[in-house]
Amino acid sequence: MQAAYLAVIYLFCLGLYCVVTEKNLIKIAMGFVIMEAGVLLFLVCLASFPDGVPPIVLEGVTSSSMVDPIPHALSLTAIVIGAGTTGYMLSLIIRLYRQAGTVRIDRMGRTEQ
Amino acid sequence: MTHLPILVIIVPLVYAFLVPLLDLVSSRLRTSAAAAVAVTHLVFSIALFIHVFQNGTLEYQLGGWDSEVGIILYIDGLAATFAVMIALGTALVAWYSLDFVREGESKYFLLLYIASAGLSGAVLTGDLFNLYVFIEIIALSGFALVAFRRGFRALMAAMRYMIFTILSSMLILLAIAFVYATMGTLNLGEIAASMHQFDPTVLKVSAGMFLVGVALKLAIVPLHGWLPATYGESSTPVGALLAGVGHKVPLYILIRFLYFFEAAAGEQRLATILLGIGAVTIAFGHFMALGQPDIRRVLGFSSIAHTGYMLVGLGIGTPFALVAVLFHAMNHLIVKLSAFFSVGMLTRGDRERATVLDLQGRGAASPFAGMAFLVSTLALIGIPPLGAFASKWALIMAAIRADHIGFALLMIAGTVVAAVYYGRIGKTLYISTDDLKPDRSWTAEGVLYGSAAVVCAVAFSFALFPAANRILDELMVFII
Amino acid sequence: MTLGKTATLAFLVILAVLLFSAMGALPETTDRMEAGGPTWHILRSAVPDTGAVNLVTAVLFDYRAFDTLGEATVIFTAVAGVVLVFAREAMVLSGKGLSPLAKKSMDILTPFIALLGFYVILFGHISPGGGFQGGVILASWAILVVLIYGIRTEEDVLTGFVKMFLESAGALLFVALGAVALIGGREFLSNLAAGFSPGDVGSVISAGSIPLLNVAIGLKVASGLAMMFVTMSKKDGDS
Repeated sequence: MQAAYLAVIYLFCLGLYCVVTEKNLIKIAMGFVIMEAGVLLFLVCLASFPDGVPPIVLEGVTSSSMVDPIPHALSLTAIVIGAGTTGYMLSLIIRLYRQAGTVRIDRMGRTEQ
Repeated sequence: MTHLPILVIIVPLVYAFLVPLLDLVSSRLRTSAAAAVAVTHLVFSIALFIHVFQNGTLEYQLGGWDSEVGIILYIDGLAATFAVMIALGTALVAWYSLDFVREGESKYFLLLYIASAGLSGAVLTGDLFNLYVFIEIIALSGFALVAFRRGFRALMAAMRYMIFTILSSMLILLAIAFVYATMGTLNLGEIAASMHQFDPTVLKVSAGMFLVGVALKLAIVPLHGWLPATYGESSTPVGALLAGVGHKVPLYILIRFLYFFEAAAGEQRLATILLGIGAVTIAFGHFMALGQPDIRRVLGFSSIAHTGYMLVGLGIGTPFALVAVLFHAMNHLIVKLSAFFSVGMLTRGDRERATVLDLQGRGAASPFAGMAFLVSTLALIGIPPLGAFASKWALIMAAIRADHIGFALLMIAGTVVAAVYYGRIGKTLYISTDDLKPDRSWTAEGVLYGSAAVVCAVAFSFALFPAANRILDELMVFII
Repeated sequence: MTLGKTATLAFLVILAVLLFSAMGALPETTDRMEAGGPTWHILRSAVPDTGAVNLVTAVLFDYRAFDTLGEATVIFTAVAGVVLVFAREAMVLSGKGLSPLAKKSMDILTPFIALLGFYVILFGHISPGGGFQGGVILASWAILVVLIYGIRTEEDVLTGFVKMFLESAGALLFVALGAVALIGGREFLSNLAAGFSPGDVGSVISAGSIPLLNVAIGLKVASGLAMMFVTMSKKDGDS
């Protein structure tokens, strides 16, 4: 489990670094997606334990061996929200690119006038 | 059982879902339905408030599941009060927009009512993850509304707003994951009740991330970067919605959080942090507003300063200070809306930006809007008879009573600075320019006398307060 | 490496250490699940409660169905926002599509993709899957059609009514199913308690309103994602 947590932290911090330091809007959007992946991985880690089985009630599966269904539901909701937000962000970027001719936020400021 | 809580959320939501359909039928139907829905939403919110006022805290179990397994809406006095504030604010914005929206811009009302449903939902929900979902709904509709008129600068502002807001959503989501990992539940009441289960490290990290997320949305000073551009570039009703109404949800979350946090140790340090950041926010907001040429940005920076006042009030933490904060929040809502609306009316002609110079002589040209703007700036400064004075004064008194004299002085100094920059705008509004008609000074004076009369009338009604005062006291006791 | 980047890195290292120490202090998953709370309840009584065998679906569409409504709202808002951003862009031909070979292959693939999508949606309560997953499969089908046949096809299909239907139908269906309970005097989004039949647990027609909500969400997700893609692939009509 500790190794998975390391991956969570790595993804989150990588995405955050990307968002904070990048000037390219597409890369900023990618940074957000990476951060989100980290959080989702964390949620899935929270649900699981060694030898856990999917939470689907079948013959011969005891309830104590099933993983926690709630984080899975939460991450599904978060995925769809993330998809909507990312989609909107990309459409804004396309629009900005068509007007400014660049996706770099530092150069956009100059074309503003 | 009453269905009022869910109706408050569902009514604007269903209208938004119906907009594409209504649009096919006729655009007039869509617009008049928008006005009707705004009224309905407001009526339901007030009915909910009265219900909670009479019968006490209300729990609505969505899907029939109790707080142990499902999502509940939890409405106490605080939530009901904020719900009414939000419904009132969005209704005013909607009515103002009836005139503002042009043919073929059907998506505007759709987004406005999604935002309205999201704002109401965020204050009514009693579930942490559900709160996150509503925050995302507010955020997404907010971006789309800022980018609404699609000027390049508006798109840039929306982009900037988006980067800050998504960052804050990510932090909040991670904090929620930590809370779930510790508690195994997402119900706010249960989390509050068993705050002691938290490992101190987990508590610090998750509370820290959550607070930074909320601070980003509140535009507290080091994290305020999105606010001036967003308010400055968005169109009038959208700016009003974000500044007046949207601002209240993170404030509500912060108040809720502080209540929960009281149960945990280390509350004193948080109060100190709040006081410090609040003071910096006040000073910065007022200072930046001084040199701004763009009026909406001036209003934006003044919003930052007002957030600072509320933070200081929350940092003081006495019940009296909290009442003052709530009172100030209500006043801020109304006053910000009227300030934005009157700026919109004064700068009609759909300019993308409105600088102070653009307003030259406009006060005489449209006396009503000019007067409304004057009164709202007077209120924003905190001139005695107006409501915002009372709340500012209450905040200062709270600071003095809690022996925070320095903060009281800072708030008074802030008021003086606000008087300087609003005075500058007010003067420009009635300055005579050569291309105006000669009778302008007469109109201008009439307006000034008129606004003075209104101000005095309000003052008088304040003096006649005993009865009103008691009602207010009762309300405050109920809210707290 | 600039000063700003170095400072960011230093900050991130601190953040990583903090996060790691906090994660190390979290309780074990099994301990948390045994300690009671919603998970404990759901693992033991979700089947009689909701009739759904897939517990993730039971959580998504019954215990926490309100979140799912919120998430459908997010998709709805995102689509409206994207359409608004590209509002004045003309929908012009973005290509005649790919070669006849690709079109023929697509013809063969279409029924299978659609079948998989509908299967995943309709069997969401008794096997892995659900409205989201199936919706995404159907959206990918729509995107493939646009890519392979060119965008003009979409223009022919997306008349006003169809567009409206795609935008609103899923979300409205969801709210309507939730509101059925209000008529019976139950809370919004109630399922079995509001009189939806639990059916024969484990079969397709079971779990009350859950399959219907799955269909609503599938419709919403599929149409939402497809609309977003089609709108974004419009060419710039201004210049």
